[in-house]
Amino acid sequence: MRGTLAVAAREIAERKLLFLGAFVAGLLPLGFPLLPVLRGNAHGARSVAMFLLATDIVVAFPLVFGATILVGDIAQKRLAFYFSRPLPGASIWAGKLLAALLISIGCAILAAAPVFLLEGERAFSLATGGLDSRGLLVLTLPGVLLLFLLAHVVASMARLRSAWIVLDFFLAALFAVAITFSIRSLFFAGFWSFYEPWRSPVRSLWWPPVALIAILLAASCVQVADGRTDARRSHGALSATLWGLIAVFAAILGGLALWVAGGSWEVLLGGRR
Amino acid sequence: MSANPATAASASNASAAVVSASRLLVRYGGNPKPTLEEISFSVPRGSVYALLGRNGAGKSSLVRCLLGQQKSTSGRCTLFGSDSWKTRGRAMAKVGVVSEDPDAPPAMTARQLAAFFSRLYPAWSGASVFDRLRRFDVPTDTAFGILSKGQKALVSLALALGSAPDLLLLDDPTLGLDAVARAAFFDELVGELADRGTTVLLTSHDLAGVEKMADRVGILKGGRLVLDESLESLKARFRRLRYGNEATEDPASYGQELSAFEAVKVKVRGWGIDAVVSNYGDESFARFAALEGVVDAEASALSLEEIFVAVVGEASPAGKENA
Repeated sequence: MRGTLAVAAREIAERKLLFLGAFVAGLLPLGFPLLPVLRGNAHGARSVAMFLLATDIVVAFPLVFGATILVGDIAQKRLAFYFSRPLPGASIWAGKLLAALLISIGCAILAAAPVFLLEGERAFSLATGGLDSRGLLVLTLPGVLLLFLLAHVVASMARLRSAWIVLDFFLAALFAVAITFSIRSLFFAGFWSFYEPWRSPVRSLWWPPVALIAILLAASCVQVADGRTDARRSHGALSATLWGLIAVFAAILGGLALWVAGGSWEVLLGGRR
Repeated sequence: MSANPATAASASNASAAVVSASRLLVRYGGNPKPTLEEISFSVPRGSVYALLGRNGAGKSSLVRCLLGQQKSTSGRCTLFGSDSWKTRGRAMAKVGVVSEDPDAPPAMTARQLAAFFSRLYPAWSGASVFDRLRRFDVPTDTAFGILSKGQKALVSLALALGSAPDLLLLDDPTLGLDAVARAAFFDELVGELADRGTTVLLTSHDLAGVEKMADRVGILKGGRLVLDESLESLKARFRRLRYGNEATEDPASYGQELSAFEAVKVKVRGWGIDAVVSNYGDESFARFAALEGVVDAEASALSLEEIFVAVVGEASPAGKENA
Protein backbone atom coordinates (compact mmCIF):
# COMPACT_ATOMS: atom_id res chain seq x y z
CA MET A 1 0.00 0.00 0.00
CA ARG A 2 2.88 2.31 0.91
CA GLY A 3 4.43 1.66 -2.51
CA THR A 4 1.13 2.22 -4.31
CA LEU A 5 0.64 5.57 -2.59
CA ALA A 6 4.25 6.59 -3.29
CA VAL A 7 3.85 5.82 -7.01
CA ALA A 8 0.47 7.58 -7.14
CA ALA A 9 1.85 10.65 -5.35
CA ARG A 10 4.79 10.81 -7.76
CA GLU A 11 2.55 10.55 -10.82
CA ILE A 12 0.19 13.20 -9.47
CA ALA A 13 3.06 15.54 -8.56
CA GLU A 14 4.36 15.29 -12.13
CA ARG A 15 0.95 16.43 -13.44
CA LYS A 16 0.01 18.92 -10.72
CA LEU A 17 -0.38 21.76 -13.21
CA LEU A 18 -3.45 20.00 -14.61
CA PHE A 19 -5.27 20.78 -11.37
CA LEU A 20 -4.47 24.46 -11.70
CA GLY A 21 -5.49 24.42 -15.36
CA ALA A 22 -8.81 22.76 -14.55
CA PHE A 23 -9.56 25.28 -11.79
CA VAL A 24 -8.72 28.24 -14.03
CA ALA A 25 -10.91 26.78 -16.78
CA GLY A 26 -13.69 26.40 -14.21
CA LEU A 27 -13.48 30.12 -13.43
CA LEU A 28 -14.23 31.13 -17.02
CA PRO A 29 -18.02 30.45 -16.88
CA LEU A 30 -18.27 32.90 -13.97
CA GLY A 31 -17.68 35.66 -16.51
CA PHE A 32 -20.67 34.68 -18.64
CA PRO A 33 -22.99 37.35 -17.16
CA LEU A 34 -20.58 39.91 -18.59
CA LEU A 35 -21.24 38.67 -22.13
CA PRO A 36 -24.14 40.65 -23.64
CA VAL A 37 -25.35 37.68 -25.63
CA LEU A 38 -25.80 35.58 -22.46
CA ARG A 39 -27.03 38.29 -20.18
CA GLY A 40 -30.59 36.94 -20.10
CA ASN A 41 -29.70 33.37 -19.20
CA ALA A 42 -26.31 33.57 -17.52
CA HIS A 43 -27.21 31.09 -14.76
CA GLY A 44 -28.21 28.40 -17.20
CA ALA A 45 -25.29 29.10 -19.57
CA ARG A 46 -22.60 28.89 -16.90
CA SER A 47 -24.18 25.79 -15.42
CA VAL A 48 -24.16 24.14 -18.85
CA ALA A 49 -20.55 25.30 -19.42
CA MET A 50 -19.51 23.85 -16.04
CA PHE A 51 -21.23 20.56 -16.82
CA LEU A 52 -19.67 20.29 -20.29
CA LEU A 53 -16.22 21.17 -18.95
CA ALA A 54 -16.41 18.58 -16.17
CA THR A 55 -17.80 15.97 -18.57
CA ASP A 56 -15.04 16.65 -21.09
CA ILE A 57 -12.46 16.16 -18.36
CA VAL A 58 -13.89 12.89 -17.06
CA VAL A 59 -14.04 11.56 -20.62
CA ALA A 60 -10.83 12.95 -22.15
CA PHE A 61 -8.44 12.55 -19.20
CA PRO A 62 -8.98 8.82 -18.64
CA LEU A 63 -8.71 8.21 -22.38
CA VAL A 64 -5.42 10.12 -22.59
CA PHE A 65 -4.00 8.62 -19.39
CA GLY A 66 -5.15 5.16 -20.37
CA ALA A 67 -3.30 5.45 -23.66
CA THR A 68 -0.12 6.90 -22.14
CA ILE A 69 0.48 6.59 -18.41
CA LEU A 70 1.41 2.88 -18.33
CA VAL A 71 1.65 1.92 -21.99
CA GLY A 72 4.04 4.78 -22.75
CA ASP A 73 6.39 3.64 -19.99
CA ILE A 74 6.31 0.04 -21.21
CA ALA A 75 6.72 0.94 -24.89
CA GLN A 76 9.57 3.39 -24.19
CA LYS A 77 11.24 1.05 -21.69
CA ARG A 78 10.88 3.54 -18.83
CA LEU A 79 9.20 1.13 -16.45
CA ALA A 80 12.64 -0.13 -15.33
CA PHE A 81 12.83 2.97 -13.13
CA TYR A 82 10.07 1.49 -10.95
CA PHE A 83 11.10 -2.13 -11.33
CA SER A 84 14.59 -1.25 -10.01
CA ARG A 85 12.96 -0.25 -6.71
CA PRO A 86 11.46 -2.35 -3.92
CA LEU A 87 8.00 -2.13 -5.47
CA PRO A 88 5.82 -5.12 -6.37
CA GLY A 89 4.51 -4.99 -9.95
CA ALA A 90 0.93 -4.77 -8.64
CA SER A 91 1.87 -1.66 -6.62
CA ILE A 92 3.30 0.04 -9.68
CA TRP A 93 0.14 -0.76 -11.62
CA ALA A 94 -2.20 0.28 -8.79
CA GLY A 95 -0.26 3.49 -8.13
CA LYS A 96 -0.47 4.61 -11.73
CA LEU A 97 -4.15 3.65 -12.00
CA LEU A 98 -4.97 5.46 -8.76
CA ALA A 99 -3.14 8.56 -9.98
CA ALA A 100 -5.06 8.57 -13.28
CA LEU A 101 -8.40 8.26 -11.45
CA LEU A 102 -7.58 10.92 -8.87
CA ILE A 103 -6.32 13.38 -11.47
CA SER A 104 -9.34 12.81 -13.75
CA ILE A 105 -11.93 13.15 -11.00
CA GLY A 106 -10.01 15.78 -9.06
CA CYS A 107 -9.67 18.01 -12.13
CA ALA A 108 -13.37 17.59 -12.95
CA ILE A 109 -14.30 18.60 -9.39
CA LEU A 110 -12.00 21.62 -9.53
CA ALA A 111 -13.42 22.64 -12.92
CA ALA A 112 -16.96 22.39 -11.55
CA ALA A 113 -16.18 23.97 -8.18
CA PRO A 114 -16.39 27.71 -8.99
CA VAL A 115 -19.87 27.54 -10.56
CA PHE A 116 -21.04 24.97 -8.01
CA LEU A 117 -19.94 27.19 -5.12
CA LEU A 118 -21.87 30.07 -6.65
CA GLU A 119 -25.02 28.27 -7.77
CA GLY A 120 -25.21 25.33 -5.37
CA GLU A 121 -27.00 22.13 -6.39
CA ARG A 122 -29.17 24.18 -8.74
CA ALA A 123 -26.21 24.27 -11.11
CA PHE A 124 -26.56 20.54 -11.84
CA SER A 125 -30.31 20.59 -12.40
CA LEU A 126 -29.96 23.64 -14.66
CA ALA A 127 -27.25 21.89 -16.69
CA THR A 128 -28.87 18.48 -16.99
CA GLY A 129 -32.44 19.59 -17.44
CA GLY A 130 -33.50 17.97 -14.15
CA LEU A 131 -31.75 14.60 -14.54
CA ASP A 132 -30.76 12.91 -11.29
CA SER A 133 -27.37 14.52 -10.64
CA ARG A 134 -26.55 12.08 -7.84
CA GLY A 135 -27.06 9.17 -10.25
CA LEU A 136 -24.68 10.83 -12.72
CA LEU A 137 -22.07 11.32 -10.00
CA VAL A 138 -22.34 7.68 -8.95
CA LEU A 139 -21.65 6.65 -12.55
CA THR A 140 -18.58 8.86 -12.81
CA LEU A 141 -16.06 6.63 -11.02
CA PRO A 142 -16.86 3.37 -12.87
CA GLY A 143 -17.14 5.36 -16.10
CA VAL A 144 -13.70 6.93 -15.65
CA LEU A 145 -12.27 3.53 -14.72
CA LEU A 146 -13.83 1.84 -17.75
CA LEU A 147 -12.59 4.53 -20.15
CA PHE A 148 -9.08 4.39 -18.68
CA LEU A 149 -8.93 0.60 -18.93
CA LEU A 150 -10.35 0.44 -22.45
CA ALA A 151 -7.86 3.07 -23.65
CA HIS A 152 -5.05 1.23 -21.87
CA VAL A 153 -5.91 -2.12 -23.45
CA VAL A 154 -6.35 -0.71 -26.97
CA ALA A 155 -3.15 1.37 -26.70
CA SER A 156 -1.22 -1.65 -25.38
CA MET A 157 -2.29 -3.72 -28.34
CA ALA A 158 -1.42 -0.94 -30.78
CA ARG A 159 1.85 0.30 -29.25
CA LEU A 160 3.55 -2.81 -27.94
CA ARG A 161 3.70 -4.21 -31.45
CA SER A 162 3.95 -7.90 -30.86
CA ALA A 163 2.43 -10.73 -32.88
CA TRP A 164 -0.31 -11.02 -30.25
CA ILE A 165 -2.18 -8.25 -32.08
CA VAL A 166 -3.38 -10.72 -34.73
CA LEU A 167 -4.99 -12.86 -32.04
CA ASP A 168 -6.34 -9.71 -30.37
CA PHE A 169 -8.20 -8.64 -33.53
CA PHE A 170 -9.61 -12.08 -34.14
CA LEU A 171 -10.77 -12.71 -30.58
CA ALA A 172 -12.12 -9.17 -30.16
CA ALA A 173 -14.39 -9.68 -33.17
CA LEU A 174 -15.39 -13.21 -32.10
CA PHE A 175 -16.26 -12.31 -28.51
CA ALA A 176 -17.96 -9.03 -29.49
CA VAL A 177 -20.36 -10.98 -31.69
CA ALA A 178 -20.91 -13.73 -29.09
CA ILE A 179 -21.49 -11.35 -26.18
CA THR A 180 -23.72 -8.99 -28.16
CA PHE A 181 -25.80 -11.93 -29.36
CA SER A 182 -26.22 -13.28 -25.82
CA ILE A 183 -27.15 -9.92 -24.32
CA ARG A 184 -29.57 -9.28 -27.17
CA SER A 185 -31.21 -12.70 -26.74
CA LEU A 186 -31.61 -12.06 -23.03
CA PHE A 187 -33.06 -8.64 -23.78
CA PHE A 188 -35.69 -9.98 -26.17
CA ALA A 189 -36.55 -12.72 -23.70
CA GLY A 190 -37.38 -9.98 -21.17
CA PHE A 191 -34.65 -11.22 -18.84
CA TRP A 192 -32.94 -7.95 -17.94
CA SER A 193 -34.37 -5.98 -15.09
CA PHE A 194 -33.55 -2.28 -15.05
CA TYR A 195 -35.03 -1.50 -11.65
CA GLU A 196 -34.24 -2.59 -8.12
CA PRO A 197 -31.18 -4.64 -9.08
CA TRP A 198 -30.77 -5.86 -5.50
CA ARG A 199 -34.00 -7.93 -5.85
CA SER A 200 -32.42 -10.10 -8.54
CA PRO A 201 -28.75 -9.30 -9.12
CA VAL A 202 -28.45 -11.92 -11.88
CA ARG A 203 -31.10 -10.11 -13.92
CA SER A 204 -29.57 -6.72 -13.39
CA LEU A 205 -28.03 -5.18 -16.48
CA TRP A 206 -25.34 -3.74 -14.21
CA TRP A 207 -23.35 -6.91 -13.72
CA PRO A 208 -22.02 -7.37 -17.29
CA PRO A 209 -20.25 -3.96 -17.32
CA VAL A 210 -19.03 -4.51 -13.74
CA ALA A 211 -17.66 -7.91 -14.79
CA LEU A 212 -16.03 -6.28 -17.84
CA ILE A 213 -14.32 -3.68 -15.60
CA ALA A 214 -13.10 -6.46 -13.28
CA ILE A 215 -11.72 -8.39 -16.27
CA LEU A 216 -9.93 -5.31 -17.62
CA LEU A 217 -8.51 -4.56 -14.16
CA ALA A 218 -7.20 -8.11 -13.79
CA ALA A 219 -5.71 -8.18 -17.30
CA SER A 220 -3.89 -4.87 -16.96
CA CYS A 221 -2.59 -5.79 -13.49
CA VAL A 222 -1.22 -9.12 -14.73
CA GLN A 223 0.27 -7.29 -17.72
CA VAL A 224 2.40 -5.05 -15.51
CA ALA A 225 3.15 -7.59 -12.76
CA ASP A 226 4.18 -10.37 -15.14
CA GLY A 227 5.33 -8.45 -18.23
CA ARG A 228 7.52 -6.03 -16.22
CA THR A 229 9.97 -4.29 -18.54
CA ASP A 230 9.59 -6.74 -21.42
CA ALA A 231 7.12 -5.22 -23.93
CA ARG A 232 6.46 -8.46 -25.77
CA ARG A 233 5.86 -10.45 -22.61
CA SER A 234 3.73 -7.59 -21.31
CA HIS A 235 1.46 -7.76 -24.37
CA GLY A 236 1.30 -11.55 -24.07
CA ALA A 237 0.31 -11.39 -20.40
CA LEU A 238 -2.38 -8.80 -21.16
CA SER A 239 -3.86 -10.74 -24.08
CA ALA A 240 -3.77 -14.16 -22.42
CA THR A 241 -5.46 -12.88 -19.24
CA LEU A 242 -7.94 -10.66 -21.06
CA TRP A 243 -9.14 -13.23 -23.60
CA GLY A 244 -9.10 -16.07 -21.09
CA LEU A 245 -11.40 -14.18 -18.72
CA ILE A 246 -13.57 -12.82 -21.55
CA ALA A 247 -14.03 -16.40 -22.78
CA VAL A 248 -15.34 -17.37 -19.33
CA PHE A 249 -17.56 -14.27 -19.30
CA ALA A 250 -18.91 -15.05 -22.80
CA ALA A 251 -19.52 -18.67 -21.84
CA ILE A 252 -21.51 -17.61 -18.74
CA LEU A 253 -23.59 -15.14 -20.77
CA GLY A 254 -24.13 -17.70 -23.55
CA GLY A 255 -25.12 -20.38 -21.05
CA LEU A 256 -27.52 -17.93 -19.41
CA ALA A 257 -29.04 -17.07 -22.81
CA LEU A 258 -29.56 -20.78 -23.60
CA TRP A 259 -31.08 -21.43 -20.18
CA VAL A 260 -33.42 -18.44 -20.51
CA ALA A 261 -34.43 -19.63 -23.98
CA GLY A 262 -35.54 -22.90 -22.25
CA GLY A 263 -38.20 -20.90 -20.39
CA SER A 264 -37.85 -22.18 -16.81
CA TRP A 265 -35.93 -19.13 -15.55
CA GLU A 266 -39.12 -17.16 -14.73
CA VAL A 267 -40.02 -19.59 -11.93
CA LEU A 268 -36.56 -19.44 -10.40
CA LEU A 269 -35.79 -15.74 -10.79
CA GLY A 270 -39.22 -14.21 -10.27
CA GLY A 271 -40.50 -13.83 -13.84
CA ARG A 272 -40.90 -10.83 -16.08
CA ARG A 273 -41.43 -7.43 -14.57
CA MET B 1 32.94 -22.57 -18.43
CA SER B 2 32.89 -25.64 -16.27
CA ALA B 3 36.43 -26.42 -17.39
CA ASN B 4 37.61 -23.38 -15.47
CA PRO B 5 38.34 -24.33 -11.85
CA ALA B 6 37.55 -20.83 -10.65
CA THR B 7 34.12 -21.06 -12.26
CA ALA B 8 33.40 -24.43 -10.77
CA ALA B 9 34.30 -23.07 -7.36
CA SER B 10 32.09 -20.04 -7.81
CA ALA B 11 29.20 -22.23 -8.96
CA SER B 12 29.45 -24.33 -5.82
CA ASN B 13 29.28 -21.14 -3.77
CA ALA B 14 26.24 -19.88 -5.68
CA SER B 15 23.91 -20.33 -2.72
CA ALA B 16 26.14 -18.07 -0.59
CA ALA B 17 26.56 -15.56 -3.40
CA VAL B 18 24.87 -12.18 -3.38
CA VAL B 19 23.87 -12.59 -7.01
CA SER B 20 24.13 -15.58 -9.30
CA ALA B 21 22.95 -17.07 -12.58
CA SER B 22 22.62 -20.74 -13.35
CA ARG B 23 22.39 -22.11 -16.91
CA LEU B 24 20.65 -18.95 -18.03
CA LEU B 25 19.22 -18.87 -21.54
CA VAL B 26 17.57 -15.82 -23.10
CA ARG B 27 16.06 -15.96 -26.57
CA TYR B 28 14.08 -13.12 -28.17
CA GLY B 29 11.10 -13.83 -30.44
CA GLY B 30 11.78 -16.30 -33.18
CA ASN B 31 15.51 -15.59 -33.25
CA PRO B 32 17.21 -19.01 -33.48
CA LYS B 33 20.42 -17.69 -31.91
CA PRO B 34 20.00 -17.05 -28.19
CA THR B 35 21.07 -13.67 -26.82
CA LEU B 36 22.44 -15.44 -23.73
CA GLU B 37 23.32 -19.09 -23.61
CA GLU B 38 24.27 -21.32 -20.66
CA ILE B 39 25.37 -18.45 -18.45
CA SER B 40 26.45 -19.56 -14.99
CA PHE B 41 28.35 -17.38 -12.57
CA SER B 42 28.12 -15.95 -9.09
CA VAL B 43 29.23 -12.82 -7.32
CA PRO B 44 30.56 -13.47 -3.80
CA ARG B 45 29.69 -11.10 -0.98
CA GLY B 46 32.00 -8.10 -0.78
CA SER B 47 33.51 -8.60 -4.20
CA VAL B 48 33.56 -6.28 -7.20
CA TYR B 49 32.59 -8.26 -10.28
CA ALA B 50 33.11 -6.65 -13.68
CA LEU B 51 30.98 -8.08 -16.46
CA LEU B 52 32.56 -7.14 -19.76
CA GLY B 53 31.55 -7.61 -23.37
CA ARG B 54 31.24 -5.79 -26.64
CA ASN B 55 28.03 -3.95 -27.58
CA GLY B 56 25.29 -6.52 -28.18
CA ALA B 57 27.09 -9.23 -26.20
CA GLY B 58 24.03 -9.56 -23.93
CA LYS B 59 25.19 -7.61 -20.84
CA SER B 60 22.00 -5.59 -20.43
CA SER B 61 19.77 -8.64 -20.94
CA LEU B 62 21.77 -10.43 -18.26
CA VAL B 63 21.46 -7.48 -15.89
CA ARG B 64 17.69 -7.31 -16.43
CA CYS B 65 17.37 -11.04 -15.68
CA LEU B 66 19.53 -10.71 -12.56
CA LEU B 67 17.35 -7.84 -11.34
CA GLY B 68 14.15 -9.83 -11.93
CA GLN B 69 12.96 -7.36 -14.55
CA GLN B 70 12.97 -9.86 -17.36
CA LYS B 71 12.11 -13.57 -17.36
CA SER B 72 14.73 -15.78 -18.89
CA THR B 73 13.77 -18.44 -21.43
CA SER B 74 15.28 -21.02 -19.09
CA GLY B 75 17.71 -21.16 -16.20
CA ARG B 76 17.61 -19.26 -12.95
CA CYS B 77 18.95 -16.07 -11.38
CA THR B 78 19.16 -15.41 -7.68
CA LEU B 79 19.50 -12.28 -5.56
CA PHE B 80 20.60 -12.92 -1.98
CA GLY B 81 19.93 -16.64 -2.49
CA SER B 82 16.30 -16.33 -3.66
CA ASP B 83 14.91 -16.51 -7.18
CA SER B 84 15.20 -12.97 -8.48
CA TRP B 85 12.06 -13.24 -10.67
CA LYS B 86 9.91 -14.36 -7.75
CA THR B 87 11.31 -12.21 -4.93
CA ARG B 88 12.38 -9.09 -6.84
CA GLY B 89 10.17 -6.68 -4.89
CA ARG B 90 11.68 -7.58 -1.52
CA ALA B 91 15.23 -8.08 -2.76
CA MET B 92 15.40 -4.65 -4.37
CA ALA B 93 15.29 -3.02 -0.93
CA LYS B 94 18.94 -4.13 -0.61
CA VAL B 95 20.01 -3.28 -4.16
CA GLY B 96 21.16 0.05 -5.59
CA VAL B 97 20.89 0.33 -9.36
CA VAL B 98 22.52 2.75 -11.78
CA SER B 99 21.36 2.01 -15.30
CA GLU B 100 23.11 2.58 -18.60
CA ASP B 101 20.59 5.21 -19.63
CA PRO B 102 19.60 7.25 -16.56
CA ASP B 103 15.87 6.57 -16.47
CA ALA B 104 14.55 8.85 -13.74
CA PRO B 105 11.49 10.87 -14.80
CA PRO B 106 12.91 13.95 -16.53
CA ALA B 107 10.69 16.45 -14.72
CA MET B 108 11.80 15.37 -11.25
CA THR B 109 14.64 17.10 -9.42
CA ALA B 110 17.23 15.23 -7.38
CA ARG B 111 15.46 16.48 -4.24
CA GLN B 112 12.10 15.11 -5.42
CA LEU B 113 13.70 11.82 -6.42
CA ALA B 114 15.28 11.55 -2.98
CA ALA B 115 11.90 12.24 -1.36
CA PHE B 116 10.30 9.55 -3.53
CA PHE B 117 13.00 7.01 -2.70
CA SER B 118 12.74 7.80 1.01
CA ARG B 119 9.22 6.34 0.95
CA LEU B 120 10.42 3.09 -0.61
CA TYR B 121 13.67 2.16 1.15
CA PRO B 122 13.65 1.27 4.85
CA ALA B 123 17.34 2.20 5.28
CA TRP B 124 17.17 5.46 3.35
CA SER B 125 19.61 8.20 4.28
CA GLY B 126 18.66 11.47 2.68
CA ALA B 127 21.55 13.26 4.39
CA SER B 128 24.13 11.04 2.68
CA VAL B 129 22.50 11.67 -0.71
CA PHE B 130 22.61 15.45 -0.32
CA ASP B 131 26.10 15.28 1.09
CA ARG B 132 27.28 13.41 -2.02
CA LEU B 133 25.42 15.73 -4.37
CA ARG B 134 27.07 18.70 -2.66
CA ARG B 135 30.49 17.10 -3.12
CA PHE B 136 29.69 16.33 -6.77
CA ASP B 137 28.54 19.95 -7.17
CA VAL B 138 25.28 18.79 -8.74
CA PRO B 139 22.24 21.06 -8.31
CA THR B 140 19.47 19.41 -6.29
CA ASP B 141 16.61 21.56 -7.57
CA THR B 142 17.19 21.26 -11.30
CA ALA B 143 15.00 18.90 -13.31
CA PHE B 144 16.77 15.59 -13.96
CA GLY B 145 16.04 15.86 -17.70
CA ILE B 146 18.13 19.01 -18.15
CA LEU B 147 21.18 17.87 -16.15
CA SER B 148 24.29 16.95 -18.13
CA LYS B 149 24.98 13.27 -18.75
CA GLY B 150 27.74 13.29 -16.10
CA GLN B 151 25.48 14.97 -13.56
CA LYS B 152 22.72 12.45 -14.25
CA ALA B 153 25.14 9.59 -13.62
CA LEU B 154 26.31 11.17 -10.37
CA VAL B 155 22.73 11.79 -9.21
CA SER B 156 21.89 8.17 -10.03
CA LEU B 157 24.92 6.98 -8.06
CA ALA B 158 24.11 9.20 -5.07
CA LEU B 159 20.52 7.89 -5.07
CA ALA B 160 21.66 4.28 -5.48
CA LEU B 161 23.99 4.64 -2.49
CA GLY B 162 21.34 6.45 -0.43
CA SER B 163 19.71 3.20 0.66
CA ALA B 164 23.04 1.77 1.95
CA PRO B 165 22.64 -1.19 -0.43
CA ASP B 166 24.21 -4.60 0.09
CA LEU B 167 24.54 -4.91 -3.68
CA LEU B 168 25.29 -2.15 -6.14
CA LEU B 169 24.46 -2.97 -9.74
CA LEU B 170 25.96 -0.58 -12.25
CA ASP B 171 25.06 -1.10 -15.90
CA ASP B 172 27.64 0.80 -17.92
CA PRO B 173 27.20 3.89 -15.73
CA THR B 174 30.08 5.88 -17.20
CA LEU B 175 29.03 5.48 -20.82
CA GLY B 176 29.47 8.81 -22.59
CA LEU B 177 30.97 10.60 -19.57
CA ASP B 178 34.04 12.80 -19.85
CA ALA B 179 37.24 11.92 -17.99
CA VAL B 180 36.47 14.19 -15.02
CA ALA B 181 32.97 12.81 -14.51
CA ARG B 182 34.28 9.25 -14.89
CA ALA B 183 36.97 9.88 -12.31
CA ALA B 184 34.44 11.39 -9.86
CA PHE B 185 32.16 8.41 -10.37
CA PHE B 186 34.84 5.79 -9.76
CA ASP B 187 36.37 7.74 -6.84
CA GLU B 188 33.02 7.76 -5.09
CA LEU B 189 32.61 4.07 -5.74
CA VAL B 190 36.05 3.24 -4.41
CA GLY B 191 35.28 5.30 -1.29
CA GLU B 192 32.00 3.44 -0.79
CA LEU B 193 33.76 0.10 -1.15
CA ALA B 194 36.41 1.10 1.37
CA ASP B 195 33.78 2.29 3.85
CA ARG B 196 31.15 -0.41 3.59
CA GLY B 197 32.46 -3.31 1.52
CA THR B 198 29.36 -3.26 -0.68
CA THR B 199 29.17 -6.03 -3.28
CA VAL B 200 29.34 -4.53 -6.76
CA LEU B 201 28.32 -5.97 -10.11
CA LEU B 202 29.48 -3.65 -12.82
CA THR B 203 29.26 -3.65 -16.59
CA SER B 204 31.42 -1.09 -18.34
CA HIS B 205 33.41 -0.26 -21.42
CA ASP B 206 35.74 1.87 -19.30
CA LEU B 207 38.22 -0.93 -18.65
CA ALA B 208 40.89 1.31 -17.11
CA GLY B 209 38.37 2.40 -14.48
CA VAL B 210 37.17 -1.15 -13.95
CA GLU B 211 40.72 -2.47 -13.53
CA LYS B 212 41.30 -0.21 -10.52
CA MET B 213 38.48 -1.73 -8.53
CA ALA B 214 37.37 -5.12 -9.89
CA ASP B 215 38.54 -8.27 -8.18
CA ARG B 216 36.68 -10.66 -10.46
CA VAL B 217 35.97 -10.44 -14.19
CA GLY B 218 33.49 -12.15 -16.52
CA ILE B 219 33.65 -11.70 -20.28
CA LEU B 220 30.61 -12.24 -22.49
CA LYS B 221 31.16 -13.05 -26.12
CA GLY B 222 28.36 -13.90 -28.54
CA GLY B 223 25.98 -14.57 -25.66
CA ARG B 224 28.34 -16.94 -23.84
CA LEU B 225 30.43 -16.30 -20.75
CA VAL B 226 33.83 -17.22 -22.13
CA LEU B 227 35.78 -16.18 -19.06
CA ASP B 228 35.00 -15.90 -15.34
CA GLU B 229 37.85 -15.60 -12.87
CA SER B 230 39.67 -13.32 -10.49
CA LEU B 231 41.46 -10.35 -12.01
CA GLU B 232 44.63 -11.41 -10.25
CA SER B 233 44.62 -14.88 -11.81
CA LEU B 234 43.64 -13.44 -15.18
CA LYS B 235 46.52 -10.99 -15.18
CA ALA B 236 48.92 -13.69 -14.03
CA ARG B 237 48.10 -16.12 -16.84
CA PHE B 238 47.83 -13.64 -19.72
CA ARG B 239 51.09 -12.30 -21.17
CA ARG B 240 52.28 -10.66 -24.33
CA LEU B 241 55.25 -12.51 -25.86
CA ARG B 242 57.53 -10.77 -28.33
CA TYR B 243 60.36 -12.53 -30.07
CA GLY B 244 62.39 -12.68 -33.26
CA ASN B 245 61.81 -15.80 -35.28
CA GLU B 246 64.71 -17.67 -36.87
CA ALA B 247 63.06 -21.07 -36.64
CA THR B 248 61.36 -20.84 -40.02
CA GLU B 249 62.76 -19.81 -43.38
CA ASP B 250 60.46 -16.81 -43.55
CA PRO B 251 61.13 -14.82 -40.38
CA ALA B 252 57.69 -13.20 -40.70
CA SER B 253 55.89 -16.53 -40.26
CA TYR B 254 55.87 -18.73 -37.20
CA GLY B 255 56.06 -22.44 -36.58
CA GLN B 256 55.67 -24.77 -33.62
CA GLU B 257 57.60 -22.75 -31.06
CA LEU B 258 54.37 -21.43 -29.46
CA SER B 259 52.88 -24.89 -29.00
CA ALA B 260 53.63 -24.89 -25.28
CA PHE B 261 51.27 -21.93 -24.87
CA GLU B 262 47.62 -21.32 -25.60
CA ALA B 263 47.93 -18.42 -27.98
CA VAL B 264 44.84 -16.21 -27.94
CA LYS B 265 46.17 -13.86 -30.57
CA VAL B 266 49.26 -13.96 -32.78
CA LYS B 267 50.43 -11.16 -35.05
CA VAL B 268 53.36 -11.22 -37.40
CA ARG B 269 55.22 -7.92 -37.30
CA GLY B 270 58.17 -6.77 -39.35
CA TRP B 271 60.56 -7.41 -36.46
CA GLY B 272 59.11 -10.80 -35.50
CA ILE B 273 56.15 -12.29 -33.67
CA ASP B 274 53.78 -10.57 -31.23
CA ALA B 275 51.60 -13.09 -29.39
CA VAL B 276 49.14 -12.99 -26.49
CA VAL B 277 49.04 -16.21 -24.52
CA SER B 278 46.56 -17.26 -21.87
CA ASN B 279 48.57 -19.86 -19.91
CA TYR B 280 51.79 -18.06 -19.14
CA GLY B 281 54.20 -19.54 -16.61
CA ASP B 282 57.75 -18.51 -15.79
CA GLU B 283 59.12 -22.02 -16.31
CA SER B 284 57.41 -22.59 -19.65
CA PHE B 285 58.60 -19.14 -20.76
CA ALA B 286 62.19 -20.00 -19.81
CA ARG B 287 61.96 -23.19 -21.91
CA PHE B 288 60.39 -21.22 -24.76
CA ALA B 289 63.10 -18.54 -24.68
CA ALA B 290 65.77 -21.24 -24.87
CA LEU B 291 64.27 -22.82 -28.01
CA GLU B 292 66.42 -22.80 -31.11
CA GLY B 293 65.29 -20.08 -33.49
CA VAL B 294 63.57 -17.99 -30.77
CA VAL B 295 65.53 -14.75 -30.44
CA ASP B 296 65.28 -11.98 -27.83
CA ALA B 297 62.07 -13.33 -26.32
CA GLU B 298 60.42 -11.08 -23.80
CA ALA B 299 57.18 -11.37 -21.82
CA SER B 300 55.18 -8.39 -20.62
CA ALA B 301 52.07 -8.05 -18.48
CA LEU B 302 48.80 -6.97 -20.06
CA SER B 303 46.26 -4.45 -18.93
CA LEU B 304 42.65 -5.60 -18.54
CA GLU B 305 41.83 -3.74 -21.75
CA GLU B 306 44.50 -5.63 -23.68
CA ILE B 307 43.29 -8.95 -22.28
CA PHE B 308 39.71 -8.05 -23.16
CA VAL B 309 40.64 -7.11 -26.73
CA ALA B 310 42.63 -10.33 -27.09
CA VAL B 311 39.73 -12.43 -25.84
CA VAL B 312 36.82 -10.83 -27.67
CA GLY B 313 38.54 -9.15 -30.60
CA GLU B 314 39.61 -10.76 -33.84
CA ALA B 315 41.52 -13.86 -32.83
CA SER B 316 44.25 -15.67 -34.64
CA PRO B 317 43.48 -19.10 -36.13
CA ALA B 318 45.28 -20.51 -33.15
CA GLY B 319 43.36 -19.00 -30.41
CA LYS B 320 39.77 -17.98 -30.79
CA GLU B 321 38.36 -20.33 -28.16
CA ASN B 322 41.44 -20.63 -26.02
CA ALA B 323 40.71 -18.02 -23.38
